[in-house]
Amino acid sequence: MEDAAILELYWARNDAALEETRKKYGGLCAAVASNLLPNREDAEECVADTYLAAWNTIPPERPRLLRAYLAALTRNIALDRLKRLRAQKRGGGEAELIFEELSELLPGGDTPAAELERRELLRDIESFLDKQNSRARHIFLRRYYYADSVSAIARGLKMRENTVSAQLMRTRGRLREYLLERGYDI
Amino acid sequence: MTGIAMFELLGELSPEMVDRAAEKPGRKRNILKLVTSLAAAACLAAAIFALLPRGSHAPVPNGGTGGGGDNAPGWIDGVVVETGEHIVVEAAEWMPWEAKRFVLTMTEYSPAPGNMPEDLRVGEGVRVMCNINSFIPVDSDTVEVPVVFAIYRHVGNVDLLAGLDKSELAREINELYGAELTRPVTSEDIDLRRAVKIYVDTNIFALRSADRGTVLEALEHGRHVYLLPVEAGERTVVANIQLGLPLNSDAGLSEAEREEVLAREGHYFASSFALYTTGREPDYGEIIRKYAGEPRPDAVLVGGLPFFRDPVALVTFDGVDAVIPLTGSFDAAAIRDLELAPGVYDYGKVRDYVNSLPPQDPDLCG
Repeated sequence: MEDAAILELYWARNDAALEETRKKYGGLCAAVASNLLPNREDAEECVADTYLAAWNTIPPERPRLLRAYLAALTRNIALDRLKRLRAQKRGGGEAELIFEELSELLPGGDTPAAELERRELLRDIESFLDKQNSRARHIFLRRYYYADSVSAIARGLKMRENTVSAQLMRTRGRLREYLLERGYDI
Repeated sequence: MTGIAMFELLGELSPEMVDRAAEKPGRKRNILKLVTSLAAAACLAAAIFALLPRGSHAPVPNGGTGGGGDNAPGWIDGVVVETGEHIVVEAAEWMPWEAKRFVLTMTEYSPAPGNMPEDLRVGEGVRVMCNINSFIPVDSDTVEVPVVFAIYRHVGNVDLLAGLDKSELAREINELYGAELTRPVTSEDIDLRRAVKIYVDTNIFALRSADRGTVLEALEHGRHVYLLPVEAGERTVVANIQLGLPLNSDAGLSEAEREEVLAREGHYFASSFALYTTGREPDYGEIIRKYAGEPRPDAVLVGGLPFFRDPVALVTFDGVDAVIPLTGSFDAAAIRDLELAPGVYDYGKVRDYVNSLPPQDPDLCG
């Protein structure tokens, strides 16, 4: 079913919207959740929460891109859950590796940047990604947005895992340079 | 800001930017060095499709082609399901049309003399090199392949892991992760008994039978990898060990790449590594024990199956062939009714369900 038709079901408060969402994007939500969360039960609950969040937010929301919207919902819910698990020392898995990789790109020491700075940083990162070739951008987003494992990315692109890791390292290096040039203190 | 905060920040990227992850990047020709691009293969397949009689479906082999014209080399990866006058191969995967049975016409010249194993058996995994322009549709499921160049047997499951060069593996790990390990890895750190075998690249759901014996036989004749954890203090490196495959002379490799492939043929080597904080590496045995209720040394791990992004375990559970997904990277709600117990699913029913699904985007599963 087309996304527009699924959104119409949400707006009509027809619960078939959830089944259609599950059919079309269940795999995506499950993948994002399990990439971030260390065990299966947490991932399953996260996906169920995602459907509930979609039901509760559409309407009033009418996402332009349903896939990205659901991915963002899943990601946020999984991240919240992961933070709680980490507080109980129950984190781990792929997410920890990803955080470690991203730690080399951290402006402003340990203090969360002010909201304005965050917005600016986000804009700069987006502008950087826009300038990358489709391969580098695809790999970066799959790793650092969808939290995909290096091996899953390599499988999808029929590349060697070491090549994917090297590509990620190069993109992070370029991003670091890009941010340094813009005056960020990394 | 911490790593997690940066990850959180990236979560605020615009939906348009996020959606660009769905863009399929173009392959660099100098990586695969296929004679033509996959796009050309798709165009060619589309052209064949247009020429086929009504009601037919054109198969697309799982690989590159040698360009247009009468001779368009391509390949089909699959499992032998019949031998004799003809060899019938069921494709391990197929896209995006539906044909999955390939009947190979065996003649004096097809395949060329000496270009196929003499004792090919049902259940073996093979790669069939053929002329995809020669395909003759038989019905919506089946295509006759009159021009076969060669049939390669996937390397069998001879257990040679003991032949792994431990000192080379230790050297590679130190080279890659030296800065992150508290001490260098040595050959003594490498305990082959910890290796976990995972069968890959055989779509057992595409087999005609769901019988465990048939499934295991097909897996035995397909490919496999080992995940080998190597512990070094607070860090554990998990090496993905695979067996070097025979050189495919049609792959268009450079001389250096050919030499590398030839040197690795029949030998185990580490194709990739992942670094974990010790204790946080995946423990499949523990996951299986958790869901099956007891340790299951008979469990067989299979990766690369449709619907499941990560490996699953095949076990017999209360007398029923069952599948235990080892991570949550699948749509659990879709197969909730097929559960024999929490986290344990009826293999035959899962197979039927997966085979009923339309082809999905293998990258994003969306």
